[in-house]
Amino acid sequence: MINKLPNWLNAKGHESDIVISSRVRLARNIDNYIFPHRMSTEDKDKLINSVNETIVSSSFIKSAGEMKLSKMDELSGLDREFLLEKHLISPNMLDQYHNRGIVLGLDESISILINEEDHFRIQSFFSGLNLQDAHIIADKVDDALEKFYSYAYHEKYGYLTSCPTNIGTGIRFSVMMHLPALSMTGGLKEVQRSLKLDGFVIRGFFGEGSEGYGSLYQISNQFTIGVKEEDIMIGLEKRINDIIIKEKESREHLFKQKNYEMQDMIYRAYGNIKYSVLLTAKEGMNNVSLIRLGLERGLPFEVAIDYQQLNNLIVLAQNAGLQSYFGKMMSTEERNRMRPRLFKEILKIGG
Amino acid sequence: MICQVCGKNEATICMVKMSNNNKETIYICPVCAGQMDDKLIGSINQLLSPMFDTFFSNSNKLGHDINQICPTCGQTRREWEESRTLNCKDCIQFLDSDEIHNGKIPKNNKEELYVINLIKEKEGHLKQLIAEEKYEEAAKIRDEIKDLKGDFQDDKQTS
Ligand SMILES: [Zn+2]
Ligand SMILES: [Zn+2]
Repeated sequence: MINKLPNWLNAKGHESDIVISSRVRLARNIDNYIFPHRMSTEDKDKLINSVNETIVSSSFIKSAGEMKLSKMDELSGLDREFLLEKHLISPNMLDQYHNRGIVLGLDESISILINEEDHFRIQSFFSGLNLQDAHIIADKVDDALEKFYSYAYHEKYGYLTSCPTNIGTGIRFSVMMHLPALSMTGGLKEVQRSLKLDGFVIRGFFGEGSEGYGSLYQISNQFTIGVKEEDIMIGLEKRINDIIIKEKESREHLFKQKNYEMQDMIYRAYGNIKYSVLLTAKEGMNNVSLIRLGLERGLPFEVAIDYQQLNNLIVLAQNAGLQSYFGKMMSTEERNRMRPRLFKEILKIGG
Repeated sequence: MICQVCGKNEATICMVKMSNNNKETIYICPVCAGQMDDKLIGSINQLLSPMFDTFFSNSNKLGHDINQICPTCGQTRREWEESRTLNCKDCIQFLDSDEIHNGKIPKNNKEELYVINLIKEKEGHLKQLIAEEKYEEAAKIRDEIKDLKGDFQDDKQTS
């Protein structure tokens, strides 16, 4: 189950040319346990086992759907890394995986992390711009869990979390976007500045410090207390729509000013994938980014390429994704050698 | 008495600090004393004066008692000010914020949890009674469980 590709890559949502995915995360703790980083390993295991019982009970399945729990200790290192690359777990959870668990829905659009920073991290992913459905689903899972656990909640401060920055609603909305034109023209600086003023943040694909990786960015709310969930969501949606307009304007501008240079870059990216013998993940991602831009501009390629293929490559191009695809462990050199084959197979180039 | 350095361990050592003819006393644990030994030799005043100032003040800038301790997890306000992490639900007492939550409220349906546990308990009892062949009593318990489960389902359907 861990090996298949999540549903949120299907590129079937709104604005799927620019918005890859929408995610909602709820942080929850249980009031009769010490919070995870001070919790005893016995209690951690007890909680994981109790969640395992909870999710197979009929009332849980009725309201939240069928799910399967995996103990992080029992997964292989490759499986754990793949979970990170699919954005299902955090780097911290990859690092310190002992006595932690993950509950995954059948299409991986729903997940619950157990004993990460908080007892529960409920996550819901949707493809394209669709925070609303992602929120509805996460909320449902929250309601279902609430029937079995009494949450740590404070009359004034709301849901209590390990880190005070998540207190209140415990909610984080997050949208992954492809912004090549804004990155090339330097327009992202202005976007970042205005987002910050309104309490939103923009980060790279793998969080802080991974900016520019395939021109993929995550935009999310910074504050969780004082504002209703719906209002945070509406605020973020509005910002995302503004950014979509700005990105489209920048693309117009770029192709007007530097039409040949842009076409040259895009077709070289395609050529790079078709003819390269060695390919790093980052290089591959940057090529995918340019091809995606070409696709959106209606540039013809020798094979028919769609957004879902490009989305799948976002995950498969990574180290664990690549190894899971070929079903074997590989050294860095082997991975770089096999990556062009992966790209050509997925995009059906020269096959 | 709790160590005035780490705020965690029992203080068993009494230290006297001399500075400008002032004599001040602090109580510390052996662990913290061990870490101080090197520094003590030599310029104790120079090295420890700034630290001592905070040891002796038992309140922070907002006037809170820094030795205040969370009864549930044992975190002190001093530790909280460094970690800025809640170790349990009751650590919220340390947070000083004007923000007020405005959003989802959990039903925290204690009544429902109570019923679930009650059913579990009675089912255990029922098994025991059957094993002991006390069928009359068992039948009574079985009816009680049936009633509880019935109420529970009714509640679910109306909510
Ligand atoms: Zn001490
Ligand atoms: Zn506490």
